[in-house]
Amino acid sequence: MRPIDKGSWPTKDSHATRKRVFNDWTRAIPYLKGRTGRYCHLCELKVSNAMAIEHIKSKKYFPRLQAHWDNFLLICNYCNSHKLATITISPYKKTYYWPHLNNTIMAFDFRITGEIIPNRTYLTTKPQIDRASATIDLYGLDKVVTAQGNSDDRLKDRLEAYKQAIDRFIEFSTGKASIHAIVDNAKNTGFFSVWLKVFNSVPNVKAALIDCLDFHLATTYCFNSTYQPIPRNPTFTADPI
Amino acid sequence: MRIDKIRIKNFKGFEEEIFQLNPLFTVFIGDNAKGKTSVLDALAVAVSSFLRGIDVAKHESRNIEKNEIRIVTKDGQPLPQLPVEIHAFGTVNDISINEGWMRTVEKISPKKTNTLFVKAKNIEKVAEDMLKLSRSGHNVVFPVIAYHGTGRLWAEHEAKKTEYKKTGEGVSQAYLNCLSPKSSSKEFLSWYKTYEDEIRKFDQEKDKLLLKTFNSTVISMIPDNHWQNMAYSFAAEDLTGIFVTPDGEKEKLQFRQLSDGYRNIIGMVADIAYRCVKLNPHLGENAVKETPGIVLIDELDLHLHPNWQRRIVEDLKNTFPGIQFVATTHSPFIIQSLKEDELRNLDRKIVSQKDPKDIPINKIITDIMEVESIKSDDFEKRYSVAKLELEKIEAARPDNNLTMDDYVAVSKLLGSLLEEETDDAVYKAFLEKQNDSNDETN
Ligand SMILES: [Zn+2]
Repeated sequence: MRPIDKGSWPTKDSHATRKRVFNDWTRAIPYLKGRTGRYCHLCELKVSNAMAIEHIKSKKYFPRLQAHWDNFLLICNYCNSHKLATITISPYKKTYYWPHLNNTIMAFDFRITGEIIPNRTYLTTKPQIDRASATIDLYGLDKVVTAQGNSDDRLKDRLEAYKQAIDRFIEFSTGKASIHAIVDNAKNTGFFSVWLKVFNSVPNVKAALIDCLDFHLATTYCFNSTYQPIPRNPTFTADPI
Repeated sequence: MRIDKIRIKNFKGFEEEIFQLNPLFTVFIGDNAKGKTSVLDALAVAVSSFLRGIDVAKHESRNIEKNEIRIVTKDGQPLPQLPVEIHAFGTVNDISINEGWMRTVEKISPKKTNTLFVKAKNIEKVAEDMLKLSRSGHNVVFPVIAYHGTGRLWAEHEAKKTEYKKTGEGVSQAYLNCLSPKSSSKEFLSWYKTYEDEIRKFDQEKDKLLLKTFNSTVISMIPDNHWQNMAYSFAAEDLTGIFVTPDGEKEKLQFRQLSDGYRNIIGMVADIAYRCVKLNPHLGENAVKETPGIVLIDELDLHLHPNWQRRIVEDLKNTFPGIQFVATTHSPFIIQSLKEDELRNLDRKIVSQKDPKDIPINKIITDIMEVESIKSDDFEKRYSVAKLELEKIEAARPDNNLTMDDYVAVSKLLGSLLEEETDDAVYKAFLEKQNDSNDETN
């Protein structure tokens, strides 16, 4: 999951000190798109138009937060429809990992099987693993099939991204693909985490992916100068990720 | 102690079956309905006959319960089938019991079942003699007995304070709760706490040796030295150790903070090793390696990563070479790690002529586990087949660094999986072409 930075509450054009009103929260979509890209904040699916505002704390139970910038994420319809059937547990900041609060690259692993699982390279304690699992469950990120027997497109598209990333990796190793073409391909398929994982052992491609502005990574908080992921909350010793 | 053969009649789902057991490791697979767990339950009844000869552990013996009697429904009436018989053949304390020993239920009274023990006197007598000899000061090697059911991981959640262990006869402690399908991780913890403390105070060479044996046993079961410097923390009231992440970073963690897979293995191994050390302290540093016995494990794959599933059988055999293990599993990875004579398929009478090691994982699923639905051709099912192949590739590289050959294989698997899914005819042709060229180069 891409770690992102939503930035502070957007202000009014006329008054730079006044917060913009989001009583119609769909008006927040252009701001989120501009600041965090056209990929689902959770599953990383590329979604150009059909995107939804996720209210981390549901509008139903927390009506006062329905227009609150901090409560917004930009997600795809698959993640949204799964979320509608579940309830966020409080305190949400400690129960789950969030792309705008944690270094989620360290929290989730995108397996070649297409599954999303807690990233055991970085998550070593049971509470951490439970936390990652809680996020996966909340948005059904590991969902393989729907009740009708149709597979969830998120899985197929993720596998498709894997296939393309691996094919480019094989080509790159024999000099048949340029870094530029690889990054363009990644922008096109989405699933940044998949590309990062496949090219993890190739420093210059890895750097180009992380630096690619389309992905809007919170690089300052989440990667060091050698492009290694670093914990985003270093002062929170119990779980700095 | 070893069971070579067991005959089960009218017990749970079994009308009458005979199973031969491998002297070292036997794994039962098959549909849940056929009752893999029932085989373990029958074995628990059989081994518990030995406990009836140990006066201080007699109450740990397990009877045939009323609800374990096989029921046949006739004209809408449930009819319990009698007699129930659990008849085991094997060796105890190097004495071969040729006629076997048997537990039966011949009639049911309204209040309780009448498990009869008369035909198990022979094994009881062997146990009584061993106990007598041991109490008169001789070194007797007792067999470890343990049953780890699927509830093993959660037993520890019962909020019980870690008490100092009262001293008592080792044998009675070593058989405490041994056939309850919950492993008693609290027991080894209490012992560990007391023992470490005493060693600190009294500094006995022999005690130190036993603790060292226990520690090295537990640590040796954790792959790649991931768990080191195990000790009891009086502040945390828990076992602590240094956990080494795959990156080589070290972190001090408590047992309860470890992931399910680790706690499962550490809890289970610690429980067995603790019982070995308690039973046969006179064996000193060989207490774990030389203690014989029978250990039953339900769902050996419980919470284990596929990498670990592949090696668990081998690891247990190496760590406890004197113990006969009988386990159940759903995991094709465990099946694949077995030798031919170690696998028992409850769904099939014919034993495979091939070593599971030589069978590819998808064949294990279709041919050995007989998951037929997988042959049908929709995405979900094709995905589950491809997924196992992908997991296999992934599991072979625990450090996550796939080789170029791995990548070629993954690309091919994904290509053929996705091929059926795409509606774009041009793209489909492209994938097909690519698959063909992969075939040529391979
Ligand atoms: Zn999504």
